[in-house]
Amino acid sequence: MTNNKLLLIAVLIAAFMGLSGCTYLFSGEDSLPAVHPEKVEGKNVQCSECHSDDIIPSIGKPFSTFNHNAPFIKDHAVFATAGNNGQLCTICHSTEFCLDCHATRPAIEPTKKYGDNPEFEFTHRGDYRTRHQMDGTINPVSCYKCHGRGNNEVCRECHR
Amino acid sequence: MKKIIGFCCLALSMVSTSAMAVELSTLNATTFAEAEKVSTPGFDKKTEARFIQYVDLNAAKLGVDNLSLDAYGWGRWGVNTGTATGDLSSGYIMYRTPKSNGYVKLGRFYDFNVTGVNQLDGLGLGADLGAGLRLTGFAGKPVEVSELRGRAVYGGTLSFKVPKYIDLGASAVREDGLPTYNANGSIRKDFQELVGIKGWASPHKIVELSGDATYNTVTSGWGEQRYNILVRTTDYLTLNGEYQQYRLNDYFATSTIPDLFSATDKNYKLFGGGLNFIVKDTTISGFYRRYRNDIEGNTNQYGAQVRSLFGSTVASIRYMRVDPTEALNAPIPSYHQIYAYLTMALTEKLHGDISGLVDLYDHKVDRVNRDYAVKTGGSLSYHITEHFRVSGELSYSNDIETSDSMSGSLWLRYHI
Ligand code: HEC
Ligand code: HEC
Ligand code: HEC
Ligand code: HEC
Ligand code: HEC
Repeated sequence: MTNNKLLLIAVLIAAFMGLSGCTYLFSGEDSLPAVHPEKVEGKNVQCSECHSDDIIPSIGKPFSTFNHNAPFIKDHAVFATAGNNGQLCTICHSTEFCLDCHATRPAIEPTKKYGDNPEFEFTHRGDYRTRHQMDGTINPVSCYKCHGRGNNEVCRECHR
Repeated sequence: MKKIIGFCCLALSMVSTSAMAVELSTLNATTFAEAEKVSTPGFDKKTEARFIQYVDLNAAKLGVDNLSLDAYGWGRWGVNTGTATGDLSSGYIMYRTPKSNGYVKLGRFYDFNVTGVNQLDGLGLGADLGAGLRLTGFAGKPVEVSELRGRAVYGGTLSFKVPKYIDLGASAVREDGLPTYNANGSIRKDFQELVGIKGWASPHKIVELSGDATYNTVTSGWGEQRYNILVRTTDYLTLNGEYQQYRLNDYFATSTIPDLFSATDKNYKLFGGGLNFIVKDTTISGFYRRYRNDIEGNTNQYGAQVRSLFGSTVASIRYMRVDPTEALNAPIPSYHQIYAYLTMALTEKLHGDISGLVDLYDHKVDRVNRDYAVKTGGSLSYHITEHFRVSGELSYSNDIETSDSMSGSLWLRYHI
């Protein structure tokens, strides 16, 4: 049963490698630029301020989908993963940016690293060693996303 | 460790052999120093200090166009403990194809495409195929973060899109040697395997539906399901709704800290909604969420934020209320939370901010004789050059368990 699934993954990867031999099977559309051509700064970036209501080539979604409003920030996981959106994020965001919150072994709490930026969007503010009990009791599955399979060395001090 | 050194050598040799052609596209180096004086009533006051150095570099054109090197890591020194630790979080060489968004990467990297977040030493590939299809894959050795880590991890995604309307994807990931647990804490299988589906659809310009779901093939159940609807009436007003459902038997079965996140036959749900409204230089957002937690009880949470720009000054205030409607075990505190900040350019080169976070508890919190917690602080940043900035911060807190605690931090941030 599981071996079949394993096989399926292997076949997918092998198929990909095979396909890369025959270039005509690729979409042939221009790739996204490696770096966003214009420097964009500040919170709540509105893509649609500079871009028209077009569909982003090779992404297939309108620019406005990526406007960094509250729902986008909250649900950014969906946009970081569906289709090839992941590559869209990297035109503006460095590796460090995503890992500030998602590293499996961070150096320190993200809100301390950005203690000079009160706009930094992260829940761990104040003495989170004690305050976390509240958030953790109400919504433990949100903690699992970052502390469930990695980044839990610090938790082991008190939780086994 | 040997691997890390290996990667560094490989990376360095790649850079040096092609030094003539290397173009450093970005370098972020942050030096951070912090000293804290924490006082916890009933305990001795303690002072702690630490230094951290972060380096994130990206070198484009390693001899060949489209071949790049990306590395990010940090080192930390605890002054009190005298201990030094560090981590190479990511370090890989990538080739990107000029067409079809193709890439091949080799080294240490994170994959965010499949379910969860996976860090590995290995190979990653991806490309757009014809007919709206895209394939990505990775395979390698998981990076050891604690005593619990698998022997091998591999996965991939296949997605299909109809531009403007639909983007659907399927993914699978497997990690050998990392256990899947039973509800009683015993080990069910010596591997983890998750299959995911995800989707985005826009039947009309103003409506976007999105979501993802994860099936745990070892426990045969849908661990996680999340669905969102977004209505973009104009670029200035968006409304959204969400529903999430978790079966903890399937979702927590892949935990690496099984006593904290333990598989049980209980479920967990949440639903809610929100709005985001932009009028000129002001953004107003609000949300409501209802959590249905079969273990701890149900809670309502709601809040709003107003953020305004006045030239180069930003002022923001956020209010949140947590209101448990029933508690099945220990009481869940009900409280108000306010977070406010102000950032401004004092001169062209000198920027400053102040912020405050206050929790007001309806009842004194368990074990602590206090009905509020507060943390306030302020920082100043001086832009020495366009690429180099120094900042300092001071903060004061009277938090749940600590009182009259102070901390001071200093940053040197270099960025090109
Ligand atoms: C300050 C203005 C500005 C903002 C804000 C902005 N962009 Fe851009 N963007 C540009 C300019 C200028 C270009 C280069 C010209 C062009 O291709 O339109 C560009 C190019 C791009 C390209 C390459 C297009 C191509 O055809 O190769 C992508 C993709 C892109 N932007 C995505 C985004 C996304 C996503 C956002 C929001 C998160 C965003 N941009 C926000 C100004 C902006
Ligand atoms: C056009 C450039 C651009 C693109 C493309 C882009 N972002 Fe952003 N994003 C920004 C900027 C600028 C910020 C503000 C960063 C800051 O405050 O330091 C930001 C902030 C964020 C934040 C919030 C961090 C915070 O503290 O407020 C998240 C999360 C995020 N982006 C995720 C994504 C994801 C996921 C993608 C890909 C789907 C993406 N971004 C694509 C420019 C971009
Ligand atoms: C986006 C990822 C992410 C999510 C989600 C997340 N955390 Fe964290 N958390 C971190 C990072 C990164 C650190 C810093 C860890 C370190 O310094 O080693 C951290 C640190 C902590 C700490 C240690 C704080 C300290 O002062 O030592 C606690 C406690 C904690 N998190 C609890 C939680 C709880 C409870 C939740 C769910 C409500 C949660 N976290 C959700 C990323 C996350
Ligand atoms: C300084 C000790 C300490 C540390 C470190 C710590 N916790 Fe806790 N945590 C507690 C206490 C005490 C409680 C409340 C226990 C209770 O109510 O049963 C708690 C409760 C929780 C809860 C609520 C659900 C439950 O099992 O009670 C979650 C979730 C949680 N912690 C996650 C984390 C995570 C994730 C980390 C690491 C990032 C972490 N904790 C680190 C002490 C700690
Ligand atoms: C400011 C902190 C922050 C930053 C920066 C950030 N994230 Fe997240 N991310 C979160 C939080 C918090 C969650 C959990 C949200 C929830 O509760 O569902 C999350 C969830 C995710 C998930 C889902 C994980 C899972 O197991 O379901 C993915 C994938 C993800 N983020 C990718 C990214 C990528 C890619 C970037 C960089 C472009 C990024 N994130 C930047 C905070 C952050």
